[in-house]
Amino acid sequence: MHIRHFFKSFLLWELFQGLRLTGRYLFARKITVQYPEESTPLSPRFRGRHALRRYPNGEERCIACKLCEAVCPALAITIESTTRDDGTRRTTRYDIDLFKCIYCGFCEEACPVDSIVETQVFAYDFKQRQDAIQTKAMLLAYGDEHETAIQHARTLDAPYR
Amino acid sequence: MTEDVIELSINDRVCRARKGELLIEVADREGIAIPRFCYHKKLAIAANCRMCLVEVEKSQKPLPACATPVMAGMKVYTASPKARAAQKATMEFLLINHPLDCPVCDQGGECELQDVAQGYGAGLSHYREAKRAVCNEDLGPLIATEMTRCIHCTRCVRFGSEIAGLRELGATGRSEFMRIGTFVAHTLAHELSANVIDLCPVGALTAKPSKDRYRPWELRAQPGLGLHDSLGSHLYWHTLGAEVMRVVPRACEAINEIWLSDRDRFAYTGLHSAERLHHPMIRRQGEWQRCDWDTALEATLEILRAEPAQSQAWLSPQQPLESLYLAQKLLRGMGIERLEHRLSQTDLRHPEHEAPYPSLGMALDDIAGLEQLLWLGPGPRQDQPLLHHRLRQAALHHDTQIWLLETYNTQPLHPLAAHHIVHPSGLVERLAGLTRALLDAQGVAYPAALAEVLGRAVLHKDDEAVLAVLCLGAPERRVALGSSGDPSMDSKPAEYNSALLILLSSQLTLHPDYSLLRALASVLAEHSHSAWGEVPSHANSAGAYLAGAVRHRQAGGAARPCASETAGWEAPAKRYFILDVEPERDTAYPALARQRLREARSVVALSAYPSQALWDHADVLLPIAVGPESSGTWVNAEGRWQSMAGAIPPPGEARPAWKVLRVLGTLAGLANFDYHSPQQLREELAALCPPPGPRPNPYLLLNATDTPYACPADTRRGLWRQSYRAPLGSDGMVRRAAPLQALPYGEAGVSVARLHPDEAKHHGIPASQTRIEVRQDGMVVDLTLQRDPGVPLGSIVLPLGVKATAALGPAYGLVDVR
Repeated sequence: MHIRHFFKSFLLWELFQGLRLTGRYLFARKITVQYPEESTPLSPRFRGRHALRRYPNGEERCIACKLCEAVCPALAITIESTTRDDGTRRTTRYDIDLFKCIYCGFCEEACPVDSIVETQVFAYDFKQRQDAIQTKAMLLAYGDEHETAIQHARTLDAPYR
Repeated sequence: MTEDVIELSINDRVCRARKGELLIEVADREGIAIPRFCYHKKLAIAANCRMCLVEVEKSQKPLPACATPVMAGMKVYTASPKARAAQKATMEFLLINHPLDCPVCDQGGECELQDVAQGYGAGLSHYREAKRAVCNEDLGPLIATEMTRCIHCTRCVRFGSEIAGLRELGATGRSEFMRIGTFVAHTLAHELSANVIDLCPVGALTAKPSKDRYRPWELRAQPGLGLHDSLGSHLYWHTLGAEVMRVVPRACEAINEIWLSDRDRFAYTGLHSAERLHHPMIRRQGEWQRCDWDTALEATLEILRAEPAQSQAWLSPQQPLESLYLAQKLLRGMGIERLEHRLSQTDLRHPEHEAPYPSLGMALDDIAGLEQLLWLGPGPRQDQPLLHHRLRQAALHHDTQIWLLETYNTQPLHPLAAHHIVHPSGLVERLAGLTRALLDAQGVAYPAALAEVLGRAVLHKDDEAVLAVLCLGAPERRVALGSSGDPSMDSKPAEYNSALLILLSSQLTLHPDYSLLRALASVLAEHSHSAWGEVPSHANSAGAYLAGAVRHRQAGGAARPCASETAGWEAPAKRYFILDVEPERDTAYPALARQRLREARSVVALSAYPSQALWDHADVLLPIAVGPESSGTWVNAEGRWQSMAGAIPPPGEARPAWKVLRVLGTLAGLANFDYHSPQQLREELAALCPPPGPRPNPYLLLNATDTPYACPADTRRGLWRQSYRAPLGSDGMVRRAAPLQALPYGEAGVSVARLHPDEAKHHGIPASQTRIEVRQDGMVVDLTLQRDPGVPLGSIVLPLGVKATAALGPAYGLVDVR
């Protein structure tokens, strides 16, 4: 046995080494956030719950091209479309099954008019199972509610697009 | 190697081709892709899109492959840098004005421009100037337009002039200012006009009824058949879930080539009509009540069992073989002998001289090989648009001479050797005169049964030319065609003269002397050594005969002694069994049919769309499947057996008719009713049918002991009604197809009385009057008057199968106008 090792053990050197680390963190700035009162910062590209957006004049953006439906790997999107009275192509049904959705963000990428987006909201719950199927009206309402946040995330991400 | 086969090389691959063949045809055959827009194999060469430019050795400039005939030793490069540069430059030009609205375009996903742009388009355009926008045309209820998307390939224009025969679309202006349109705004009214939707390589012309409702990649294509004329065109049902989204043609060179009539294409829009029956219904104390199948079937059996000798069955010639075969098996098994599918045929006399089933007597393909065609009765333009197309192609490209003897002008769009319009009774006289003259010329004695008719006949001077043609027919020209053993998909009629054909129009079955016309035509055919045929009127008229859905035939076509010769379907009965028939629209005596049902004790109807008469007089209504909802086999005008599988489930509790009938048979305790599939039924029936042999000529059945044919009644005096089946009134599905009915030849459009202007004047109708009152057998209807010089004097033309004339008497008879 080495003499150095003998003294290290005897003087509890390693214990003090450990306590030094503890002591450093004891006085350092804390990184724990008090969720849900506090939250960690999110990337503007975070893929959370879906929303359908509108143009500033209130017109829904979605044109029922069904590209999101086609690209969705989980088959979570169901769309039915028809010609609206003004002659434009619109959805009559736009359902996203959030149980099926894997939040891959392909729908957002496929959308030619920036209509379906994934917001930064990741904390949500449903009281009833059927509430997980988001209808067009729910998605549009959600979009209206979070438009400012969506807009802000887009602005932040714009240089990289 | 024969003289006219040459060798050339495409992309250093040695190819063989016929001299004069076009480069693009050879490349297509060899599987070498050349991009193209204006070229279409069924249309003439336009060479105006320039997309198919290829490099040809020793040529300074790239050449369009669609307009360059091949030459021996030619060296072609389709993907060399020079060819690619030319193709990319063309693509950039085409994309200058084409809008980038693929996500909202119905063509997106199946667009030729989109496909080619993937390979040849650049990411960016050099073009910085203003773009062109074009106003949309209103082409009617079938075709939606977005003319800014047009790339001026002119396929639609060439379709109009070459295939349809009616140039409804044209190009005005040049280069930047070129516009495709109708020039004078009007609805496209040709019966094949919607084929431009398939021809259009971009989304400029798309289907209006399905606009914005689907994307091509989500549709499931299921092979089917056109069930609204007797050709049985091949098509695809494009379904999304349990709904037919659209119908497109399925290529079949022998029948519909690559075309589809508008009726077959858009009839699906009637599938989900509000008039559709979804649940079995039963009448209790005069009130309709929804009930379950068990109750409905029990009530049906009770009615069928009650008085079989006093019962009558009306069957629809639209139904597939399987359900017609089962219907007759059930009814005959229960002792009901009076069953009939020929509800719109007025003359059912002389069944002993009938052919086994109505058919063209030759394959459709062989019409092009005819030298002469004598067509008796109204032409096929509206009734069988693709048969009209065949005649047109034969007349234009194969010099077939068509002699048309009509009872009113159907405005055929093909060249004619002669076009005569005669009074319906005149038609019999003309044909008798022709027959007599032919027999006299050949020194043949008149058949005894026809002696009286022929004895009085005189040859009309206009028919001398036809007579000369008929005398040319020689026995050695009769050719035999190979025919397969069993009646399967590809069986063809066996023997006929290659050069001459006499055809009786499908509308002639409404003629009061149809049996006489048929006998005369068969005598004429026998002695002129020509083939002859009857165009079947409905999708399965031919099959109904084979299935035995007719009172004098057993399943398989063997003769069956009739209990009473005189009791036709219109004779009174106490109980009625109705399979898919709308009494006021499917019968030749609509008012009488209603009356019979009113007087009946009980009526049971299997129906998809119960008409008013059924709601008023039936006791049980059983919902059945129609069109794409049920599998089945149909026998077309050539005698070809064609089967299809169901594409979508029937709505509600509706079931395919064969299943309903099978259950009825089992419940009734009849033997051999446990079928599991329509296939089983089809095989059982096929085994009963005789192998297709030569179409027997009824002439050979005429003998001295027959009841002589009566001379037609004198119709020189008075105004005689003649009828035709409304082109869009053929069956329940078409009648409820709203986009079709909005066409000029839809229900509203044809609900007019057509009268010769002189005849109108003769009846004292002032020139300003637009409506007339038509009286027949004490019944009156008020109709729009159309003064039509194409109607013979002494005759008024009224449609059958529309609501407007449902209150009138028989399809043919004396009427009075005011």
